[in-house]
Amino acid sequence: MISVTPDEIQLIALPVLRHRVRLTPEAEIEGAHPGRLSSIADRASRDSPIDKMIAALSLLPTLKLIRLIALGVPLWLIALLLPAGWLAGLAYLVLLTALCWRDVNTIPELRSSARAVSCRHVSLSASISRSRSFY
Amino acid sequence: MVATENPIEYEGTYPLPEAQLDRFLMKVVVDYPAEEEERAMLKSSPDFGRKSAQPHSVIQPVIGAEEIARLRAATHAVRVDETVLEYALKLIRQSRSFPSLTLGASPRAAIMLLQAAKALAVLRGHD
Repeated sequence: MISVTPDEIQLIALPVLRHRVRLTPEAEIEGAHPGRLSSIADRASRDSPIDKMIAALSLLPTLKLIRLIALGVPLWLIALLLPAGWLAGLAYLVLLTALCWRDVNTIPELRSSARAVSCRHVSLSASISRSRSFY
Repeated sequence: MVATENPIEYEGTYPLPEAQLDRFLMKVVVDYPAEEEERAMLKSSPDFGRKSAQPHSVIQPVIGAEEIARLRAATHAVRVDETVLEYALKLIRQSRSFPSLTLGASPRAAIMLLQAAKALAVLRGHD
């Protein structure tokens, strides 16, 4: 028995939908056309707040590490002047390692959940993009 | 029903309302012919205007009413898996909240999307 595949839904989506949808005035001003929705959708996904959030999250561990090292420099200097300063320095190093370890474990989870939201947001664009050969 | 629309000439015509456009299964954009096709047109142009060269006098039927009925029955018999149905539904529903669109696809569009996909499956003839 013949059955429909997702590929066929994707291929037929643009001819079936292009005369049924209406663009926003902003999209029309930008010269968009329902037949070229893929380009609008690609740009929309690039500029979405979720993708910006993902980019920011990927920078977070690095920024946090730099900030902690910068904050630690005066402490290291004070520690060198004080007796048993190496003990304070060692405690700071342990604290720094613990914070970085926590980030390494939590950031990927945040990033993957944000990525899932983003994927839902752009799945229409991906489908239309794959059917662009019909235009 | 098949309707044509000329994107250049609008005099004496008007755009159809969305509810009427929704009745059409699909919109197929016919672009300019390919270079080879245009060359063939030019080569046959000396016959242009001659009655024997009119398209309706040379075009032959490619399918009969019975064959159309058989293909329609075959289209209705095509199976749609639950996951594929969910995928089509998701696609239609997302068009209603897509940022660049003020008007998304209608419930009729969802039905027609599945019908057209079934017809494509019959044409491809796979299991």
